[in-house]
Amino acid sequence: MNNESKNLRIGVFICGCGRNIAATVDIEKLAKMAEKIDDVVFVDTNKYSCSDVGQASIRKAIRENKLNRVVVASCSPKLHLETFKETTASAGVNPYLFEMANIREQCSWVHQHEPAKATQKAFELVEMAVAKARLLEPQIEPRVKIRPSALVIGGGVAGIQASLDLADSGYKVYLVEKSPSIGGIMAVLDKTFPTMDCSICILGPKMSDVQNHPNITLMAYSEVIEIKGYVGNFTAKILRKARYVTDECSACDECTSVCPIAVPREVDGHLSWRKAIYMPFPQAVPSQYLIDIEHCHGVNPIKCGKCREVCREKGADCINYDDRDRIEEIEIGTIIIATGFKPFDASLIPEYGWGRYPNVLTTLEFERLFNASGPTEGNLVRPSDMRQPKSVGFIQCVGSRDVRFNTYCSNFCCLETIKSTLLIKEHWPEIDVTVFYIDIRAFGKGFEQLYKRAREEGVRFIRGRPSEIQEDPDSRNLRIFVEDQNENRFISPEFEMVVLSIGADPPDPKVVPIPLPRGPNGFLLEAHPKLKPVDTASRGIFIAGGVESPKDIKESVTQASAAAVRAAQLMAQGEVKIEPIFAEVDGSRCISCGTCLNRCPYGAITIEEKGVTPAVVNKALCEGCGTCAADCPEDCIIMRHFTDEQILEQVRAALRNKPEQKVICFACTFCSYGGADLAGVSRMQYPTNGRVIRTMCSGRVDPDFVYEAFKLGAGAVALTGCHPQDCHFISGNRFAIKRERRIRRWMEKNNIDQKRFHIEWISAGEGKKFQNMMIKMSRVAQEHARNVKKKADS
Amino acid sequence: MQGMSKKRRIVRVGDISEMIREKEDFIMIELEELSRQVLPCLQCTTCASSCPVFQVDSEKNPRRIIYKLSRNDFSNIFNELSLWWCGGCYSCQEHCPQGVALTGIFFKLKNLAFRSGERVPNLIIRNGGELASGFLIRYNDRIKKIRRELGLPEIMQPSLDEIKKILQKSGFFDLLEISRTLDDE
Repeated sequence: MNNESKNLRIGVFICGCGRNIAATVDIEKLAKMAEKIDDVVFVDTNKYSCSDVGQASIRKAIRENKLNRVVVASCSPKLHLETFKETTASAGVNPYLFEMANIREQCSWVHQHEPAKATQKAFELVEMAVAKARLLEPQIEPRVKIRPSALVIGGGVAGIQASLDLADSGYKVYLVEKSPSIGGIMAVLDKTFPTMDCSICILGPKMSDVQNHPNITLMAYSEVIEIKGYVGNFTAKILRKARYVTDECSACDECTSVCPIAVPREVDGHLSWRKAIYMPFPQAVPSQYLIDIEHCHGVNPIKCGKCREVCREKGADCINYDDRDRIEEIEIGTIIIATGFKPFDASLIPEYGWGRYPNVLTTLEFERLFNASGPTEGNLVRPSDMRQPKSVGFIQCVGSRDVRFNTYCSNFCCLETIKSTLLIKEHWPEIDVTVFYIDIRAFGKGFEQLYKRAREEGVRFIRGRPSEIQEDPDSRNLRIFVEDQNENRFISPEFEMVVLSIGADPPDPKVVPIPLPRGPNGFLLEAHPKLKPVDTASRGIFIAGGVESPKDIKESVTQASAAAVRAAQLMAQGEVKIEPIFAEVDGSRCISCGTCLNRCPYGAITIEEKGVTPAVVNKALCEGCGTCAADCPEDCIIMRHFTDEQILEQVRAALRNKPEQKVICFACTFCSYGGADLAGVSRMQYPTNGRVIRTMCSGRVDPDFVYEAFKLGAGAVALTGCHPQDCHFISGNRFAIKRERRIRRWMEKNNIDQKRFHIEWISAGEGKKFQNMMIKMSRVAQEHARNVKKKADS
Repeated sequence: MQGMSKKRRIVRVGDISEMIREKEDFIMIELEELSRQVLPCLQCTTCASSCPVFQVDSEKNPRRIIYKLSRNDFSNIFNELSLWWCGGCYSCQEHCPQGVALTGIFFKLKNLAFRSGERVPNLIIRNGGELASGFLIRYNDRIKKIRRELGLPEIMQPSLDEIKKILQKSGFFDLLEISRTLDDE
């Protein structure tokens, strides 16, 4: 090491974060301890380092003391790394000579009851940061151009809004929708709460705007099957499914009358019929028919061909039996994901009998019954005998707030029900309407007034969650079994129709072909729950609507506009700086073995002639996961800003004092480090002997790091990463887990208890899991420490 | 249970108050543990709605036991009617949306009631005599007749020695004795 020649002048700035850190960690003591660390020439404490005053004092100290390395001990780098990097840069020091020690989320907040131990841990965390800071190298941030075009996935109300906002701002938009028409769930609703607007009347104009907007390319009946690239330079492959009807279709409806095949209509909740050639609903956009190839006789003019005949008779020729699925490739700068949630499948609760009892409906089916373009043209009748019901019961929280299905509250169902009850009462006040609920959550603007109106209209609200619905086989009436909690007695009223207020299921994991972190419930995770609610961990990719959490129309639209602005902000800049964290091959040592080639999921590494020429990294394609560097047999791949030596120094610093008690935890920055931070934010307490080392990906963790930790006597080592299918770097954690056998064999050879190494997949939403793992591993380390002591004593 | 009975053999009548205190502590700890288990409950009434006993008699409400436990209100908890009328059908537990193991909790409560001595006499008076004969309920001519009519086989007389051994080992007789001592006091 050539610390002398570098003439290191490290400044350490310790933040009290109000009382957030200072209440647990003794800041003054920590400052005194930090002064004694080698190469540290300046130490200061601050109440709020991130404030303007705090940053100014850091800048001043850097200039006055001619510091050339800066360490800030404060919150998580996931929160303020960028802030302090800019502070450092504005003081004339390269921002990559800055390092952060996380003494809030991973120290003061998780060790609130052990101030002395927490202070010691904070000191060691500062030591680790200083150790890494010594080896930091200045980096130059490359700039990449941002294409002024966006891909919006999902054509529900969120996708429509985001597309229109971006297109109106002058950007090219590709809107991809899986089903034949855009509109999503909003298009099938009858009225919207709290204003009772007609749903399609307010959505319809927006839908046709999308079709007519010069900046929007609408790709309905299409799916995104592949996304590659990075911020500003994505390419996407779109599968455009064959419609068998050309764009010239004027929607004259002649073909449906001759089509011999009838299929239940999906949009109507299967309560009505459609033909194999059809339009999903009258206001569909694009207003163009399509052939459902699964049910059609097989687009074969010899077998049937009636639709083409009639189309030609009308003088048009819009039906093309030779249409085929095709793949289109588009280039975009930003991506907005608005694929929405899935309605809950009510058949999963057999005690409510949906699917068995014809008069038990879900809210979506009820919407269609009420809808003027629905199967009954707006007449409320029950399916069993097509008679208007005299009494309707509503059951809330179906599939929501239930550990057997979805543990969360689905947000919109309470008001959805209240709106439906009001609609019934408005049209037919004589119908008896009863709602069974656990809690009514009417929190939004105008919601409580609507709830009041429903009560005033005579809707009965009974607090109680029914356990069962039984059908009378003769009358097809339904008996609900429930305790009326306010009266504290059992009741079993009979209804002629029951509506289940279903909630939202999380989106299908495969709905977007890129790995993005998900929360514990399966919804996509935002970059920050409060300050970056529409950003994802991947730069240039944003989320809006039900894919993020269950939400109503207004919230979806708000979020969509927010996502559009975030995307437009990137595109308006024209170019952005990207982190210079990428791999470099030391060509003189490379043996051209080709191991790195299959480690790289981005194809960023190439070898011209295997065994002869050294590997070369394309920096524009490299995302910086470091999987190649970890598996390089010659260790000749250098990961900028996360070099082997920097990480090893952190390990050594962490294990300088009482190594046998320590737990070294490698955490990937996108998922597991976020999980550790969430444990902190949620104040989930765990023992103080854990030391988290941040890497870009779990794939970066070279077995050498683990060996080094054990050689230095570490009590336990944990390797954490994203869940296998969720790796932010596509396949990094797959290679991480492949190293487990190698590590375990090495441990066996060196007589190390297998319990002391552990791999755990922790997403950014799983703070509890991180806490549990830390508690478990710290027990292992303590057991090991006892054994070491016993050996020493004997 | 065994530990307790062994101890009893060592201590004499004068120490019985200390023994009772120890037992009360134990019951308190167990009750507090149970009250922790019911904390997720949001009083949605699903348990009561699904309870076949509650459906017949609104006095016997399983939700009330959970409510009392969640509020650390242990007064008269062993006298809650639905506890003793619970048939163990597991309907409430199956339906509970918050994953509270109600039936398991009721069994534990019943065991605790047994230990606390509050409920033992009844049960033993009702069943103590029958157990000595090897049956939980009286196996008389009427039952024999019903079984014959239903085409069920005659029940063999179980080995009384074995049953006594089981009852001895499981501490049943000790408990019986304790409860009698308590009754005497």
